[in-house]
Amino acid sequence: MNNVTLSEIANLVASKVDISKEETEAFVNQLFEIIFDSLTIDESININNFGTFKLTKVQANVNDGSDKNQEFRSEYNVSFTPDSVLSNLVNKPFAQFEKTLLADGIDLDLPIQTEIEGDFELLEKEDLVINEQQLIITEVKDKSRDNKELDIEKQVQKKSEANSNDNKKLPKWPIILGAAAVIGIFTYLLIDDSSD
Amino acid sequence: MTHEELLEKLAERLDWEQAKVTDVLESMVTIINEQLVNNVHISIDGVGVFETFKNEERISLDPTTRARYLVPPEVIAVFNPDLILNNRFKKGGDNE
Repeated sequence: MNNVTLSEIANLVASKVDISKEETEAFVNQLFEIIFDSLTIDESININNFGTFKLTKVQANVNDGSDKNQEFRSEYNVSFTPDSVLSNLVNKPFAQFEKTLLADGIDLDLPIQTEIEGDFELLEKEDLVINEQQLIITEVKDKSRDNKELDIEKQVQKKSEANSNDNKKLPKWPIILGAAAVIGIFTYLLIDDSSD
Repeated sequence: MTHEELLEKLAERLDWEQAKVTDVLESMVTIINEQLVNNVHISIDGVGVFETFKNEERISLDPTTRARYLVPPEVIAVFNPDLILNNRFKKGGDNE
């Protein structure tokens, strides 16, 4: 991996803009002096197309490493937030890719990380509330549908029972009479044919 | 401090015209950005190192819904402050 120093950057700037190397070095020194002065009065400093420098509060462990009597002290670190122009420039090779939802059953050999911060979690929480409401509504609908189905089943059972009861109550003499009539007709026809 | 205020202050301290300060600062930012795009580290003594860092492709798991997301790789620009710089501002600015 290549490494360049500020002196080399100053040379490149001097060759690009029509100024001497001494002037460029003076410029760079003043630039960082102003940045440090701003940080000293706890003020962030923004450079267009590059980023923002500011002091951020961090909790530093002041203990000697043992687990007992953990003590933390508030300290400040100089942090740099890159401008969107710089972020987009360095991430250009992967700019066309987006975060995508993985379907069930797709297993990839990649490290798994739990999302714990950012808008993503908030968005999912909101979605979850909606999903819970939808679940409750669906459950209520399912229960009402089950009740209706039970009612219909009960009604069908009652009807079938009623029909079976009706069948039990029907007299058997019309069937016997019908059968006798059919036999009689066949007998008559046979006798009639044999006499001819 | 905004970018414009920085330009004014630089012009005042260097006794340069603001147009010249703007040109030099823009050129410097363009050159540094180009170096970072080409994965070159920029070391500044007493200040720190500007470099790029690649976050590899990974699966992100939402703890509440258990949904899995495929997160693409991402290259980010980072600044690692020098120990001298961090010690200088460890106790915060003058306002603290």
